[in-house]
Amino acid sequence: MHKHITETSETIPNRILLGMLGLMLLSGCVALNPGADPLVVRTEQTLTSASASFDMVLRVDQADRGWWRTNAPAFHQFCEWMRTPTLYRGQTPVPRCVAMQLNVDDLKLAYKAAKTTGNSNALFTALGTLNAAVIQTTSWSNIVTAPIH
Amino acid sequence: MTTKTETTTTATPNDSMATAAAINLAIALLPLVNTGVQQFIGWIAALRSAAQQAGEWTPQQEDAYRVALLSKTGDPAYLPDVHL
Repeated sequence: MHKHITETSETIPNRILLGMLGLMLLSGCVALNPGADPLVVRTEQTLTSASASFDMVLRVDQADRGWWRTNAPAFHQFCEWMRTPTLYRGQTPVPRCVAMQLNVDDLKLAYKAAKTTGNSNALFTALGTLNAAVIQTTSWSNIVTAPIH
Repeated sequence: MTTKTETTTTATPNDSMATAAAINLAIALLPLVNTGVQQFIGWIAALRSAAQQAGEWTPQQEDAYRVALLSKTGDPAYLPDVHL
């Protein structure tokens, strides 16, 4: 009985918080403007969420790299993978997560300039890769911010 | 015939060490929690902004996005361990 009361008192604030987050996200969904290309808008939405997601995990890791390296090495290793210098357009070294976003944005601009099947396929493929990285990043953010009881 | 038993609670050295360790851990985690909460709020705001997007970016928004992205290359949070 006591356990039940304790669990209820713990889950109610969590449910309220989740409900508020859900409302914040869902109430913001809007329909596309006439003439807006869904693939372009979806790409830009993914770029926005990718930028914020990468930023979040890298700054959390940056707060105390030594602590994460010791206590959550896989998380720190993932952050290091995202930070790995990668050549953008074959000449400028940028962090891998920045290169991924720039490449997708370049493909989006190419698609906007010429809406061919080849360009749309290339953009769709790159978008899928970026989306996978975002999902993995979000998973890590869920793991490292989970409360420890 | 009743007997009284008195129990006294005394902290053992192990308890004190455990408490000290817990306090140290909490102090070590404070900056992480602070950073995490700020980043989490920023992340939620960005997701909301993405969900509200109804049209394609204007050229100004496109430029602002690319400038912000390229400026991250010098950000310490984006540099690998070997470059720090």
